[in-house]
Amino acid sequence: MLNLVPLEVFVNRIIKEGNAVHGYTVFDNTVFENLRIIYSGKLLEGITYLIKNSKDSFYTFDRFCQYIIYLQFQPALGLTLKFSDYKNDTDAALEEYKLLRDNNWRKEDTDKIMKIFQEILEDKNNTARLVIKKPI
Amino acid sequence: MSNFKVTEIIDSTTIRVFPSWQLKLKDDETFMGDKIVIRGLILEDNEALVKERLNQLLVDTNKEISFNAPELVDYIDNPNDAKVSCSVYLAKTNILYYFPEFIHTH
Repeated sequence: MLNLVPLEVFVNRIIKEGNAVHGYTVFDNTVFENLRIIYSGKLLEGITYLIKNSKDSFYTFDRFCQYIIYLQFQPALGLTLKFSDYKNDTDAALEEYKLLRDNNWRKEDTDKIMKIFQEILEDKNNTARLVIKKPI
Repeated sequence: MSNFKVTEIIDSTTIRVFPSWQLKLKDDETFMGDKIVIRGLILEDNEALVKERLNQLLVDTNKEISFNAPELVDYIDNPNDAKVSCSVYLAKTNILYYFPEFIHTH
């Protein structure tokens, strides 16, 4: 029998900064659990293959519902996944953008973050809930 | 406590929920959306009255709301912005019970 499942992703810690909410997933198995919720099909297969076969660090940004997600892999430390919800607060997003630029993040990364934020502002379809699992 | 909260009555038969729902079919095809069509509520007029009553019952309430037997009704354009038709229950009572004047049985 088919059931509607609430769209939830799992984080180990939630931090509020002003209007913004950031959720952090630091355990590999929980990151994989989230990736199976966020992605499907060939994209999920591709990301899983990349993670399991990569010898080098990598990171990527994407959008999931109202969140900017930041997936990071470091061979020695494993996977982390950050969910950032700026609650449509452009000032909060710009503040973080400026902070990242000041910390010498690459321009293409900070631009991508702002592009995703703009997409979220323009398309408010779908919202997911952060659920704390194995809190740290 | 319900896993979903009704956040908006979009029209007299469609509601918006938080968080969004996800529906996985047997072949693993996945759909998601935040809109649910209330199954069985067939209206010809009185939209404002029905919306007001739905607001009172589903939005301004702390009672458990649950959904049963989902059926995809609008998903062709975008599987991430789909719509399902469901039986909607308020504290285990089908919401249609609260709209006796709008239920048509054949």
